[in-house]
Amino acid sequence: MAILTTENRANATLVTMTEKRLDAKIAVAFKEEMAAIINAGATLLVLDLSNVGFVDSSGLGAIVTSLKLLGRKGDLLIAGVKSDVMTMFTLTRMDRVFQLFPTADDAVKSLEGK
Amino acid sequence: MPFVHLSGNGDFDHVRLLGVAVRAIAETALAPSDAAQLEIAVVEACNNIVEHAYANTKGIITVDIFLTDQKFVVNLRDTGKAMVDAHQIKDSTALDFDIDNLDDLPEGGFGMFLMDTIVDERKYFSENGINTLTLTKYIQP
Repeated sequence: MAILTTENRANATLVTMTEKRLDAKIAVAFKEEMAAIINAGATLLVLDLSNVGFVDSSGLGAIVTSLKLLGRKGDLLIAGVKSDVMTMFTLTRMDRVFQLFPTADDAVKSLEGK
Repeated sequence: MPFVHLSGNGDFDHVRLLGVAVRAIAETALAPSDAAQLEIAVVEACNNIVEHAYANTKGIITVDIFLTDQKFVVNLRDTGKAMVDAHQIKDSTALDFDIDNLDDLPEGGFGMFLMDTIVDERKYFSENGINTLTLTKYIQP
């Protein structure tokens, strides 16, 4: 079962996490699905986490793995991070690594013209 | 002193349930944001048990919760391999990475750092084949 859905929005690929938790149970599946999306040629990605209420360090690591796979030729923006999940980003300084946006629409808009 | 005893299999399905249960119980004593952080600490501790103590063999995780006016204490026990390098002192080297250098970004290794950042005390000991990790969060009056 897919845990990520994708949708083309302007020049971005909007990737929506459908599960409520991004944790050790699904971190591997997340990495595999993200790798498939990136290997299919997507370079400007918006990851919508608005359905997600919990992220552990395995889940966060899986997002970092995806960013590394994308490399410098693309962008991975993150949207819709809830406050409890934001804590995970700030405690680990990942709020300074990723560009975070309140909504997927905001993130998609920021990529226009890229 | 209220006391709750939980246990589950040492796998990631049960780690989810234990984390959610501890958070719900913590919300009776702590601010919601503190209870949410405690869930992170407990899940990180349980993930370590699944990945390192049991190393994907079968085992049970036991979670005992003690509640006083001053403290919310979570005791996690397993019968797997003992941790040899359970730093008692907060190790901030987990954050020693260059945020502008893609290759330098860590894909893990935050577990212990997160526990130490979230709880006020972390104690670990191993005796007679039982490993006990105690996470204590002080309750603000």
